[in-house]
Amino acid sequence: MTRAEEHPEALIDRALRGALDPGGQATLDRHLAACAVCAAQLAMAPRFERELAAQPRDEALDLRALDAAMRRMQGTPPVTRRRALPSWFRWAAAAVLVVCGVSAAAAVIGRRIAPRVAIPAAPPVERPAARAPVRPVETAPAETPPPPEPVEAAAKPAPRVHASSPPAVTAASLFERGETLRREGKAGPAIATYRRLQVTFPGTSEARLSFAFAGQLLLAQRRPDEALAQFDHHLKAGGEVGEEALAGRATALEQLRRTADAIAAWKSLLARYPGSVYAGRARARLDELTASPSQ
Amino acid sequence: MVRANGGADAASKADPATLDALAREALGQDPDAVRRFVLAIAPAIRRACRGVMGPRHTDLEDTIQDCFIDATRGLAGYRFEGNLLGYVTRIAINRALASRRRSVARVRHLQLLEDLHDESPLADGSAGEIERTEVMRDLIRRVRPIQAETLIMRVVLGFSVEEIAVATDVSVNTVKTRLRLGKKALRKLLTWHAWEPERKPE
Repeated sequence: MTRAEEHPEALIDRALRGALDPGGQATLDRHLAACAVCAAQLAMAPRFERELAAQPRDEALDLRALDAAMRRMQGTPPVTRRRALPSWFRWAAAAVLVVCGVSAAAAVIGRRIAPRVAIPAAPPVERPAARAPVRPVETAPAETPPPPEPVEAAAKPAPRVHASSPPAVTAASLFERGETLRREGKAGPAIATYRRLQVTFPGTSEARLSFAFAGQLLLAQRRPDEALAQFDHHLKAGGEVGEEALAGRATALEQLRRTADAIAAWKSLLARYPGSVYAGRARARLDELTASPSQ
Repeated sequence: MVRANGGADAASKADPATLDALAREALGQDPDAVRRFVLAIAPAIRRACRGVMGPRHTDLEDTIQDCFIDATRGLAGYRFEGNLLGYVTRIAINRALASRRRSVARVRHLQLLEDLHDESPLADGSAGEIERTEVMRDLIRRVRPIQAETLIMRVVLGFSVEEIAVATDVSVNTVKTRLRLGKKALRKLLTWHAWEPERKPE
């Protein structure tokens, strides 16, 4: 793990309590220089604390909410409050019950029949196990806190670099370089760096993310065809900023004057991310594009 | 407790044994017992909802009300083996995350994020503290749910790693892993939004 990934939670706690010694402060400062999240956590703690501090109207708020909740609970029996299960869940449950029932019946019948029917010895026939359709697992409802994750995602092995070639070029270092160039407004070199990252370290999370960044830069340079390819790569790889990539993709399609495709792209964004930060923009663009479609 | 007036300890004055006793009484459906139980957990719920949704969110009171009902009805399935306040806090965090996700009141904030995406105004200081916390809340919401829950407890509510472990009934190492993965995901989102965090004042 890099320094930025080893978050010194204990040091952050001590800093928030104002009980950090100079050595600890120096260590923390080095980490904060590399980790925007911990820096934000530390900087925003006082703000969050002020927001969460008890306020004079809290008691009244609690009582109002409590009275309303009591009315709702007394007026509606718990059973009617339960959310209807999705239809697929009912079907899946029914299928499980049927399978279990049939298996159990088969086992019982098998046991009963076995002693009576002398089956001649035969080589066992291995049947391929029937595959049940796989459905995506839905997030647990709010009432039930999700169970602990049994297995956390394993850290990806760092790409191999030659031991005798300092400074080592890694996916992370290329990404950092591209990011620095991007922030400095050097779009061309940034794009080139991202492309090098994509070729040199394909499959890494940095390369995946770089597709979206490069796409954004290409879009700003009015190179929509290349931007579109980058966004498509990011989306195909299941990248982390899917909302942004979809919005970028739709914008690229608009720049390419592929209006029908752009409409489909904006709709796809709204369908996949109805609460997206780009939902407002998507609706506005859809209104405009559908008002005067031109292919 | 991490912060001077924050963290898990500030959520409720009731000790775990008293809270468990109140919860067992509330299981009997006696309205007075239910009221006593809800009032005992109200600070934790209010704090969690306010943390996730922000103090000015128009749906805050409704969400708190929903959480009271969820927590009371959830008692029937609660095994009294873990930390009840943690259980209630998690219910509130998840309910509040859902409310925030679907809230129409986010329109103004959505516009802000779009602007951020375009111009990164946070870097030039034109966006204030409030917007900054709103952006952080929204970005946390976008990481994986279990990591978002852990990040909310840690970054927004000010729980220590150990307090999160107790509240979520997992090991400290699991909490650290979730925090590491959550912060990694959050860092990518912050990078995307050209986030330049203000440094803690000296």
